[in-house]
Amino acid sequence: MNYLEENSPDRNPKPADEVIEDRELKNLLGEWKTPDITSSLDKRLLTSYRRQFLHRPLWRRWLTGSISLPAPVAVTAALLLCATSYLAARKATSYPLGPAPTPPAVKIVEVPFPVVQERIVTRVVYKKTDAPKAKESPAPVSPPPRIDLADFRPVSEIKIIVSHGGNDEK
Amino acid sequence: MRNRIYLLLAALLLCSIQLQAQTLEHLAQSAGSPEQRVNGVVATFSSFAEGRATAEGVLRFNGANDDERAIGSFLVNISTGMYIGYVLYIERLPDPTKLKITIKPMPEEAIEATRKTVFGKLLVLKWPNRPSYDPAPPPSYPEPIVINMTDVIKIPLWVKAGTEWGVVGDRIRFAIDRPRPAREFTLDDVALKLTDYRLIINGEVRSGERELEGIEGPLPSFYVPGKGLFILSIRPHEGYAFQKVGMAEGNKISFSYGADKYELVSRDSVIPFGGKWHIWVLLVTGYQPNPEVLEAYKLLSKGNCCEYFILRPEELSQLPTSKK
Repeated sequence: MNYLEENSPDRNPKPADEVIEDRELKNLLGEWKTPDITSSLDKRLLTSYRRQFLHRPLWRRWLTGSISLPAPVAVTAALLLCATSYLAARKATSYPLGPAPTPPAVKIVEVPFPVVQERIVTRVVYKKTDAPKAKESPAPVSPPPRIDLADFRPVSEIKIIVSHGGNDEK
Repeated sequence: MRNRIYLLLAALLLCSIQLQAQTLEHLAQSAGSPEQRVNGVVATFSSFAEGRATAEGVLRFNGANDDERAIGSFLVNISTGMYIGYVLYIERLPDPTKLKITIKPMPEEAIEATRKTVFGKLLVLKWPNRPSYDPAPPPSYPEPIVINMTDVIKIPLWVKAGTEWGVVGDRIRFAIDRPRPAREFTLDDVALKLTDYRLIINGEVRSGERELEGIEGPLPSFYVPGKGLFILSIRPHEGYAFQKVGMAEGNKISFSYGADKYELVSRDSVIPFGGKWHIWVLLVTGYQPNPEVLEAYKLLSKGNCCEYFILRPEELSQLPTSKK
């Protein structure tokens, strides 16, 4: 039988022929018996499996292992991850970590706290004059000291305030 | 009394005739020496500020007069030009750990004299629209107090009431002054003194319509526009091209430089012990005067041409190209 002839379009089997061939194949398969599996093959397979998986260290199995996920679950998880990342990024933009000396912060301190806050401001100025730069805060929380003394007036009565034992701030 | 007041004032305003005292700010820096010595006591001045104020808002001038046992203190509010002056008297008591402290107003004579100084005229130039250049009206003053030597006193002087409350004033510490060791007398200890003086160049009065108050020190100096800075000394200074071209005799110092003849004529003797002495002269052509100070001198004496001050020997090295 010529191979080319057999595969040529002119030699395409007709449906009737196909049915006959299937029947023959089915008969042949029905007559065929699988050979018996020997016990040595079982042992070899089991040993091989154990060598491959059971005796591998846990960390190695964890690193090389895989989990199969149904596609809907994987897609849902990915969507959730994107959504939470976006929300986290928006939150970070709204509240910067590094405080900046913005004018609104100055106003907040000026208006409601007249005396106590002011005293703190003055002492910050003293420290800035004497302290090394490395200790200075990059963004002062208190309002800047006031140098303009245009509204200051001479005292109406000169008084001497004595700090005994020199316990006075420098 | 007048002389004693002038002594105090002279000490207080000494720096107004020094080289670096070219503006009020420079003047305050050189006059604001924190340590003032009177009566065997060192009083260390500093400024304090509380509330919404900083000590940078005032210029402080201090000067001590040991004869008077007094220290004068001026505080100028640089925002307004107003200033406060007071005199601090320090008395030692039988108990060596105690001091008697008295605060009094600046004497009227001193205030009057202040108007005739470079300091007073710089106030006028800096705040031209003020109705008065006298110190703020004298407030009431406290009774004398006795303190321990280790105590610190604070004297509030400028205040603002209300929610933006603030106060600025003087803080003073005290300590026993260490005795000064004896040293060799040198010619730098001889001060040339010009009191109520005039400058005459080539026979023409160039110091203006009135006499100038006075300068005293080892190196009296004056700047003539177009010529330079003339520094006068009773001796040469190594490393500097002083020329022996002048003479001090009686109430006059005179010298010739180039084709010009210069004379400084004082009311009193220019050297306390009299005599006739050579004067060494150094001309520094690279010196740049401060226009503000020149203007202040014109206000002191209409028609005045020049700037006058006392130089310290250690300041010679700071002058431009004055070395040989």
